[in-house]
Amino acid sequence: MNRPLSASDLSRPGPARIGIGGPVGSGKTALIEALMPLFRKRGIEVAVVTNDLVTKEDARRLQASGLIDPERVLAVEAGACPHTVIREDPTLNIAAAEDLETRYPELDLIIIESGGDNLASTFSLDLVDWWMFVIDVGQGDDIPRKRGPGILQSDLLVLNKLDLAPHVFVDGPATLAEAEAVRAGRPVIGTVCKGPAQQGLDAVADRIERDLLFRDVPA
Amino acid sequence: MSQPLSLLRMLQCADSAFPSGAFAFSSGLEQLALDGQVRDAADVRQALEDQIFPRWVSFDRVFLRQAHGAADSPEALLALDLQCHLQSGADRLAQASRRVGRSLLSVHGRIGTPHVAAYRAALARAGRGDSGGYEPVVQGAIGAGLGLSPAETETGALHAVVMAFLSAAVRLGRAGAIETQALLAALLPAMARALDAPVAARAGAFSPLAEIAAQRRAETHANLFAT
Repeated sequence: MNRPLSASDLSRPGPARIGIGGPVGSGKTALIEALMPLFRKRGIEVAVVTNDLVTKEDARRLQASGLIDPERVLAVEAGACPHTVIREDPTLNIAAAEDLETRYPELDLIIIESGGDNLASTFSLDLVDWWMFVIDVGQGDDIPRKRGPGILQSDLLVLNKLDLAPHVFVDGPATLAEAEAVRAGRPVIGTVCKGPAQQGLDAVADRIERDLLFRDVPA
Repeated sequence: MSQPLSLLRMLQCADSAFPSGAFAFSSGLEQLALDGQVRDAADVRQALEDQIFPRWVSFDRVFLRQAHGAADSPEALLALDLQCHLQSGADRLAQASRRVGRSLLSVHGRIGTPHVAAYRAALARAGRGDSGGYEPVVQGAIGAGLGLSPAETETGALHAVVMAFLSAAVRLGRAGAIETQALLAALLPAMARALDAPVAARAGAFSPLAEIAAQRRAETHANLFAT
């Protein structure tokens, strides 16, 4: 009775969907906040779906930031396990993304932010086209060596809070080099999302623009 | 259709691995637990027997059965959906029903279940993207699309509602994973009797404890569930 899947079932027109995962406090929301002005400058229309574990904190933070129309931020409260809602059963996020697509046909990107999780977190490709994993130097310089699926399988690994490295006795450049080695050539970008000395954000935006929107951005 | 094939299709859709979004909703159980009204497995069973189970039998089942019979007509499904909307007094439970229903539509749309694309298009045309897609109407249409009998479709739906409540009880720490299986085993005969009984002529539900609990869900508290 069910007809087999064909390529046309799997091709989905509309905005590209990006996943952002990573441990609690690694800076996923801060990265989105820092990228918003760059997207605006580049004429990229964005909406966001947040996945807080048990509250709507991230959604409220983005809605109050002034960086995005609050109506373009939807919170999916799934509770308990952030893996479930982005991997095993991503349907609530798919429905939220579809709602945003219907409401804002001009969108180029929908960013789906996972709830804070552990290194085993990955996104279902039913839900997103591309995803990045955010870790930070405060978690220690051994995080890349732990080789969780998030670190190995993500399309982009972001090592955030590089400015804090000296304060937590971490060698930032060495940790970045180790992450690049562990990922065997898949991209890694170091970032600073807050404060006057932001770093790496244009590189993240370039990669999204090039890989997801197929725009001609010099490598 | 051969019985093994329809049973396999029913099992596929009723499996906890089938993505439906239902895991995010507790039908008011979280608030009942916070209020101290549901403390242990005995309380879980009572809430299930007094509130959840009768609500499904007298309300959801009626819409499911009608939708199963009307699955060929998107317009008839839309009318049932609207009726379900008008009769849903507890907004939070209604919202949960719509979110699960629309999740099911999204998944079955992707896997090509018959009737689904036409119904989704009708909902969109009617501008009921946010306010439509009630779960029992969707379940009825999907069951018919999969070639399940009304009884098989109802069995799968009742199983899903009971299992969602029991798994919420486990996550809330009000019953153990094994304890809930004993509870389910004890409930199965009553579930079977309900499924054997005639479907009510009109839909109507009275489950005040669950409805008020779902409405009272504290926004300020850190919640594990969306209802």
